[in-house]
Amino acid sequence: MAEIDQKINDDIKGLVYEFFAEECDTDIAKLVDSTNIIEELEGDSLMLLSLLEIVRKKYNLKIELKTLGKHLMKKPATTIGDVVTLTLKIVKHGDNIVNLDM
Amino acid sequence: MTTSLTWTCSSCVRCVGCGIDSEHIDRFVQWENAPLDFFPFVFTKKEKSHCKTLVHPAIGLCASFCTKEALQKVLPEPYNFTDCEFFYSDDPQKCKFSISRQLASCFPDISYTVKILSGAFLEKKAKHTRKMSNRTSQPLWTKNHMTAIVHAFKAV
Repeated sequence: MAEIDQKINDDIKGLVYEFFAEECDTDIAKLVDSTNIIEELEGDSLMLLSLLEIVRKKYNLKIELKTLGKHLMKKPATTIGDVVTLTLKIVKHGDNIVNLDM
Repeated sequence: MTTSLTWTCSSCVRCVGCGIDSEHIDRFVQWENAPLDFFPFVFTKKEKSHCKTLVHPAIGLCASFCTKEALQKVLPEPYNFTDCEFFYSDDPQKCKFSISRQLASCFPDISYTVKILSGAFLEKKAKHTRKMSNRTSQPLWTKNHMTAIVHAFKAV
């Protein structure tokens, strides 16, 4: 389990915001935690997987899609804030994410 | 499989699921020249190597991704995308689809068929797709979408 300090927390939040601003051609200043990825940004699963690929490379993670899918069935990530929380959990817990209490 | 006028079916298999997924080919152009270690949780190395042999690798990656997503919509629970492989060919007869023994054992007695379609949609392009098109020097595809239709059949 990786320790998440304030710097990593801020880095991940910044990474997620920058990613969606870039991919969705949107002004980052207009994005907030409650921004709905599908309805407001026209995001999809490929976009989430692309973000996961960036996070995997940056933090040298190994996570299975089956694990991530099971977690998302319990707790869907529909907003940017949800994705930030999800990304922090992935970096912190890796494949153990599916065993976390929701 | 034949269906009679009384809506009874004489087939020894029943369709138990159908999953469909469609993606813009443009979105996969960014990985055409990437090293083979990209997306290890989505594509197998064999799939990526195969795509690199195609004239347009993005088409192969797109078709493979659509197939994996369409299969996900058929299955009752999440699976690892690398347990499903799809090798695209311009000749539909030469496209190859397979699932791992591990995945097959989770859903015994189920067999699958895959149909790949390509075509252009007349709807407005999504924001992220416009961005992708602007980012690359590639021309926009005349047939800019790939669609995968996966059917699941069970012997009866």
